[in-house]
Amino acid sequence: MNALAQARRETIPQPQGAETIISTEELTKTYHTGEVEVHALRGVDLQVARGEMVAIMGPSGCGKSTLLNCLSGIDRPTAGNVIVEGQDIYKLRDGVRTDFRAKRMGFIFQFFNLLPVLSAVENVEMPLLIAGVASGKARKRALAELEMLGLASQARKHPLEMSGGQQQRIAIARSLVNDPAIVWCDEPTGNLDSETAEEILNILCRLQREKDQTFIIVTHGAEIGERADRIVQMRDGLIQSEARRDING
Amino acid sequence: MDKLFGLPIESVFSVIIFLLAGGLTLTGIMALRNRVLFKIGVRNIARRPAQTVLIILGLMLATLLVSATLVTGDTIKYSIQKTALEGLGEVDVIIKAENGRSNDTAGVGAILGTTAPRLNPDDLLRVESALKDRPVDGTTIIVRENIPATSPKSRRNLPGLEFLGVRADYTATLGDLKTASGNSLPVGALALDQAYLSAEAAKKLDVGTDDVITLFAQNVPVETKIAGIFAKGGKPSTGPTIIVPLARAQEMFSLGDEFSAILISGKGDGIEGASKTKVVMSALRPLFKDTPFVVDAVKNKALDNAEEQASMISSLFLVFGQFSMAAGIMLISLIFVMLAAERKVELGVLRAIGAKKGALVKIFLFEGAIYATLSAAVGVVLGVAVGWGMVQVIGAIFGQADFSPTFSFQPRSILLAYGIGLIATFAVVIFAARRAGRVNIVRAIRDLPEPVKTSRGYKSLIFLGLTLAAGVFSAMGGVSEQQQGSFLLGLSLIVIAIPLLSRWVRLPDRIAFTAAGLGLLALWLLPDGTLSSVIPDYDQYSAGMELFFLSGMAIVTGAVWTVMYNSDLLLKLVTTVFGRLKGFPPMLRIAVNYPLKARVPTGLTLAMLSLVVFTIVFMSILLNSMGAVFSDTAKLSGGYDIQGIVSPANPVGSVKQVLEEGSTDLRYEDFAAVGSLSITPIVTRQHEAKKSSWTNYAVVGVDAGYAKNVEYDFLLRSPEYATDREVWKALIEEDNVAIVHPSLVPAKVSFTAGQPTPPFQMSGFYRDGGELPRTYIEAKDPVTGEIGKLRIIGVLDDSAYTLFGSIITSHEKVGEIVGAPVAPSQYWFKTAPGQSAADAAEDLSETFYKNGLETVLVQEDIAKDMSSSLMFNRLLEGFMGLGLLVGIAAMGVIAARSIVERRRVIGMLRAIGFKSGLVQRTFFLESSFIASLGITLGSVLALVLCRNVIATMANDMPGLTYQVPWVEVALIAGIAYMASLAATYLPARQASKIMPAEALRYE
Repeated sequence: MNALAQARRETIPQPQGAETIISTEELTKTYHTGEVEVHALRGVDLQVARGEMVAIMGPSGCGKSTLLNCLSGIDRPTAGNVIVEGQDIYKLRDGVRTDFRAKRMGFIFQFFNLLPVLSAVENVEMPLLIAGVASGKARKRALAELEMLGLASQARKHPLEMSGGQQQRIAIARSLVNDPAIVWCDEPTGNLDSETAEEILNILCRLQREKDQTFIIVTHGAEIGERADRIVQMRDGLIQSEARRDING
Repeated sequence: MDKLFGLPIESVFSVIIFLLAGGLTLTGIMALRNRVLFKIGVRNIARRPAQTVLIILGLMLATLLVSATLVTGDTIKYSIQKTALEGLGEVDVIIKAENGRSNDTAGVGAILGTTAPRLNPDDLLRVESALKDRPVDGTTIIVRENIPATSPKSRRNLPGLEFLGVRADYTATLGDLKTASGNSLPVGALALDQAYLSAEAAKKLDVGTDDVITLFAQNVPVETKIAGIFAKGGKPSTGPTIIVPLARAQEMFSLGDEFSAILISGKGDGIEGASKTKVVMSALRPLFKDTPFVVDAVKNKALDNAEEQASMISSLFLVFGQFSMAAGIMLISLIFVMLAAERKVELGVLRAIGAKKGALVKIFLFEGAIYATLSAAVGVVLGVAVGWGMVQVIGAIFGQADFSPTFSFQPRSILLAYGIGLIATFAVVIFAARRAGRVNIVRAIRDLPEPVKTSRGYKSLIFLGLTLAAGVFSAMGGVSEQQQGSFLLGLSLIVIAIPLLSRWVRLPDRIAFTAAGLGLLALWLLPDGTLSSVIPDYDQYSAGMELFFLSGMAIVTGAVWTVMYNSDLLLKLVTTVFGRLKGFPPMLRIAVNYPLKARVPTGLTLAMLSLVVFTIVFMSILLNSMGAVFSDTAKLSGGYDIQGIVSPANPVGSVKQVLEEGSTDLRYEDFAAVGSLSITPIVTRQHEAKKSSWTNYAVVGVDAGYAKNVEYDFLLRSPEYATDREVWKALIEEDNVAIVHPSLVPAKVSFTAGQPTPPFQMSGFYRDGGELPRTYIEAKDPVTGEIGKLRIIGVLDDSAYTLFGSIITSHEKVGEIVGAPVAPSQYWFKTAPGQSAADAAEDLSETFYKNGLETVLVQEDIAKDMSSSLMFNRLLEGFMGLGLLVGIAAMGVIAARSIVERRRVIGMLRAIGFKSGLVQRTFFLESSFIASLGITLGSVLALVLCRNVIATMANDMPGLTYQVPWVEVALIAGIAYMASLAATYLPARQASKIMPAEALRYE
């Protein structure tokens, strides 16, 4: 039995009755670097239920970030499709897909990717302004988000005046301010010390519980995997295995 | 050109070549010894060809400006030399009576007519004997006069025909006379009543071969047959010329065997012959010592004159181009700051794997050296092309004035431009390489922003301490030398250094730079007269064109500092005004915040753009305001409509009588005023003035009719005269008084550049000084040595256009000096109301036909002159406009750099919902913001400074008022804005196409 067939066989179906928010079929992504072809994804099938926290794990170069990029609509797959909230997002025009991201998705990156020239509150309100929310309203919501993450006092500070943990919390606030259905996290604790990483993880878990949002987290960290609803283990562009956390311990 | 940046060009050339050779050799040796580093450095050049092309284009602009300036200077020099050599033919030295026009280098025009002392055959024998065994091709003699001529057939007049009586050996010495078709016209073949006429004279008289014209010699008409029309060849004069046999000329002017001049041709053609002049002069000078004759090295003078005029025009372009060059050097800095930022990761990695700081410096240096070498070469070539274009425009402007430039340049100029461009670029490369070598490995590898530096190290402290000391030294020098430039430069350095030094006692950067910026603005934009009221004798301080450059640099620096260090206020203003527009807030946040937080690149770009816009707008306002003064041709003409030119050899006598007896309907009553004017060669100096030596000059005599009716005003009057009219009255009624044109009097503050300066200059008072002290000039008859002393009772204002460079007194006084009554050579007519000046001019030509009177419609003539002058000024403005390319390139560079720097940010923004079009619009908005800010700063600074400058200039030029050509200013701003946006188009488009996943993977 080849690896692909083996991987498919090991895919765990989602719990019965849960609404599927993301599903992919035969997702393939090939990069061309000069004359070299790199098969980052080789036919990935994945279903994610609304409100689920999925940790995508695997060694470097296994395709987990590529999978996240393709699922989130920021990198077009070579083949296969991605259905998010019932929409085949790559059948949408780029502008419509971008709008869809602005309204329904949030992003958290390893290096925070905050705009250094804007203050914390200005960073947080950016997705709202993009979505066309009025400035005054956007400011109120951004401040409320910062308050919720315990950063109200840092609202006027600029990212470079803050610690890594604070910056990542700002990034979390930015990703959640538009109340997205899905939050994509690419190594959210990869650039933090263990204590801060634990703190950030607690925040993510709390938000997922409170807001019933779907979190797809690409990570190397076993501690994230331990707290995710499901672990998707990847190897060489394929899902090698999936494991669901036993909520009964 | 003999000077560049005020230094002897030979010295500049030697230094440049030394630096160029030294720099290239050192870099070459370093490259050979560090081949691996060299390869790492230069591989980037080939790796990104499009970026390389952009970098080279940006770097070459400063070189282009220098190259274009030098090539234009070379062309002007070559063209003037060519014209002068054509006029002189093979004549290198002339022996002639000493006269007041030895600066006239046009050729035999400088030889006095037959009223002057004459040479005889003994003189010729002595000369021939002295020149035996000397490098001489030949010697000949001529009779020269300036006479009127008329054509009975066409009834055309020519009042000033160059009349040359020559020997048969004339052509052997000076070359053949040739027709337009190339046939030779031998002088020996002329019969006594025949002549050869120059093509120009034939055209003016509308005659051809075999026609008969009338020459007037000592008021006696002489019929002469035209035996041929010569178009080229050995004609030792410019202008309309007639050549007759020597014997005929001697007969017409009753000279016996005497003649006017001896012409000598040195061995070799043209310039080669002139090189023998020294030997010839040394042999001849002793022969004519203590005689009324001079041995004049005419060709050398002509060549020197060409050099001087070329230097003047090149200096003019250099003066007006220096802002663009300064902006060009800023652009070079900006490009290398950008390159260093782009190479940061690569350099960080190299450091991480063991490369030393010195290796990074070398890598960057090698890359920069290649860019510098290539860009200087491209700049030189394109500069030659721009120079060619400018020469075409100059040719079109001065074509009517019979000056057609021939494109030419010296290899030395090319090498010089290349050297200057390469060295300027390389100097910036060295500076940037040193900075690039100081990377922080972790920050570089992770591409993290550098922390904000406070620049409070000991090096900055020493630098600012030295700046303060230099400021104090320069200001004190300005006070002791009474020079505004040095004084204000010193004050500016003090104004900068004190607040910046205060940062060491905890003054925040923002307050320090704002104080320095506002201080500079206040100092240079003070209203006219403010400093005079504070600094003792400040109105006695002199100033020149250097103030223009200093003021521009100072106020732009001040404004940019003030804006950049108070950007939060600007940000608030912009977001408040535009933040409510639909779709604007997210774009605005990025488009305004990013540039305002990046102080160095944005500050440099702002400085470049505002500097360039400042110069163009300033020039535009100045030209418009001055144009308004000089377009008032009625005022410039002194109220006269027609100028009638006659030869003094054929004077009119009584104008009234000729008009009454004339064949036309024209009567004396048809004129509201008639005046006459004579021009007599004298030698002059200022009485009891330091440094005033005897100068060959001319004095203008006027009659009562002219003085009574002329409408020129005075800048300065002697205190005993209450009105300008009283001065004119005194000129006729009082003994031993004179007035002068303002070009003979120095100004304390002079913003003029490139205007000719008459050789006689007065001192001890200023035309813009408000007072005329008791001042005398001495006028000596060059023949008798008789000296007359004249008190200067008035200095005319600049509107006295037709009297440029003149010393003016009455005909009677001139007659007293030269010991004989002087004959007028010009008549000035003011038509009575209702009379047509054009009709009257035609009738005057007809009536004064026998006197060969040539009429000029004064206002029309002035308008033509002004139009040429205006076009030349526009060319200068256009040349300054080249600087706009620098500003536009800077916009492109900063946009390209932003994209490289913000790639990850763009990826993130695209991920969270920024559409690609929004990314493009954001970059456009950012460029639009910087461009608007730069253009607004430049325009406002120009509007304010020009207002002050015009207020100062008005002291010297009554009637000059501040007039802003708003449409033109709007057009300049519009073009600059649109061009800036256009420069951003490609980078913005590139930014919009960045795929979010790719950009984020970059990390």
